[in-house]
Amino acid sequence: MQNYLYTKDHEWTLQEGNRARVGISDFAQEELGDIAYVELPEIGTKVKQGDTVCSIDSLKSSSEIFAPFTGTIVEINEKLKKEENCEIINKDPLGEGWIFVIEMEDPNELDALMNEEEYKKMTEEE
Amino acid sequence: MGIKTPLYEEHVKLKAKLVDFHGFILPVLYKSIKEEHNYVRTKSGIFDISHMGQILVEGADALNFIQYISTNNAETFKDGQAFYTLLCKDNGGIIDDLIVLKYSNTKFFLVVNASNIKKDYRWITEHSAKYPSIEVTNLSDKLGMLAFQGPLSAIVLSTVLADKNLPEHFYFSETVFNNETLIISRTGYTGEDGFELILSGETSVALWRKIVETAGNNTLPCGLGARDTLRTEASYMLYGNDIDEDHTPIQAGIGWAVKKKGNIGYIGKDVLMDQKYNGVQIKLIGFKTLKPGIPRQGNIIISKEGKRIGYVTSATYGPYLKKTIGMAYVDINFSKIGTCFTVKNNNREIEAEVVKLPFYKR
Repeated sequence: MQNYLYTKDHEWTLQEGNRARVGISDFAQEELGDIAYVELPEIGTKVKQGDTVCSIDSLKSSSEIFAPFTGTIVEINEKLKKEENCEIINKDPLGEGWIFVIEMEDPNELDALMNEEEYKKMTEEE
Repeated sequence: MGIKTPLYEEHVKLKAKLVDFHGFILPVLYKSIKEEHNYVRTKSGIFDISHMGQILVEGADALNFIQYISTNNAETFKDGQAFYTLLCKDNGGIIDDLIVLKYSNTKFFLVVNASNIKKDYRWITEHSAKYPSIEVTNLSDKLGMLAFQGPLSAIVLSTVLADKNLPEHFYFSETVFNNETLIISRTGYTGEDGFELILSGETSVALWRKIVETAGNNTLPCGLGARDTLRTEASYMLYGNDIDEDHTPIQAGIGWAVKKKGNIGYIGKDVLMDQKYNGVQIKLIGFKTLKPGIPRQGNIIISKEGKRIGYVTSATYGPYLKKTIGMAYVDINFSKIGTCFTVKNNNREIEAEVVKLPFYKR
């Protein structure tokens, strides 16, 4: 079982060495509904934990994706550049629907995140 | 907590995502707005629109009264026709937009927006005081309403009702379903061929089930989400977004439903005729975006020179057109087709271009 960690803003992260893959949770995609656009960040962008990295537009609303860590964007999901592909976030939010990869400056920041169980509890309370 | 429509249990069974819409609990979507939207464009879709209001106006003087309170020319329509019209204030501001079913010169059946039922009923009753023969009845609580829309809707409905003689586009008829009167109006809010079906709330559940069962894979239950994206593609007005008491039908670009009617006077006529022939300062236009991102209602519009020139009234990604479209009130000087401007959305600036309405026509 892979170890997904979650932010309170409904991003998930998956650690890959000193990097982490980031996407939005199943709960978030369900809340947003059909995703129409993802405005991807540029590779090389430096972000601080909590910064807005990019935005997602669904038919119902727009929302922002925040950086779970301080670091540098090193990879983006090129598939999402095409509008018609954005529905992969709805279909497979934790897999094919990943959005970007950050190279972390301080892996200690992982400690602030929730595990699957804690996150589930939070969404049930919402 | 809102009012449960007669179809509430059906929606729950179908695991719909429910929202409170002007006091009614209604589905915003069942599975996917996109899928429901495209089903209506290519096959058919069924909507619970029990929230819509129905007001009956009857009496010897009904034609004259309808002429006085609304902008379209009721005299020019035949018995059995359905037409779009507006109730306006003296200053031309829109009280509501509605579909009127003309039974005869003495009987008109008004279908009004859920958000305006009480306001309309009060407005109509107050103005009927000068017309002693007129009786106004608010049937909104008693009647249910379904919309069955899409290219396959006619063939499915004629099977359901075992009746080949469905009314033509913008006509209506009455038939019997489960021993009850059913009004079939060939009108809608999607831009497709389709029907609006008015009957008691109780029987509307039976009709819904029968349509769903008969249509099989050719229909999907659709929510308010798809209803909104479909009407936006077809550039139909949404009261509270694109039209309201602060705007006139001429500004909204629906002056085709505002008639001169010769010497007949009606509420708002002076202002509306002046605007129709002398022009307006702001205008509702259609736009498409040139950059990713979906503008939202209320977003401010800025000209290339950085001047604030208007605001967005409705916008969405059009699931069938596959582009982002919207409507906005802008300064008349920026309303020409091809004009480019910027929409401010949160921290983003989305470039857009004025395009011809409607976005979609079947």
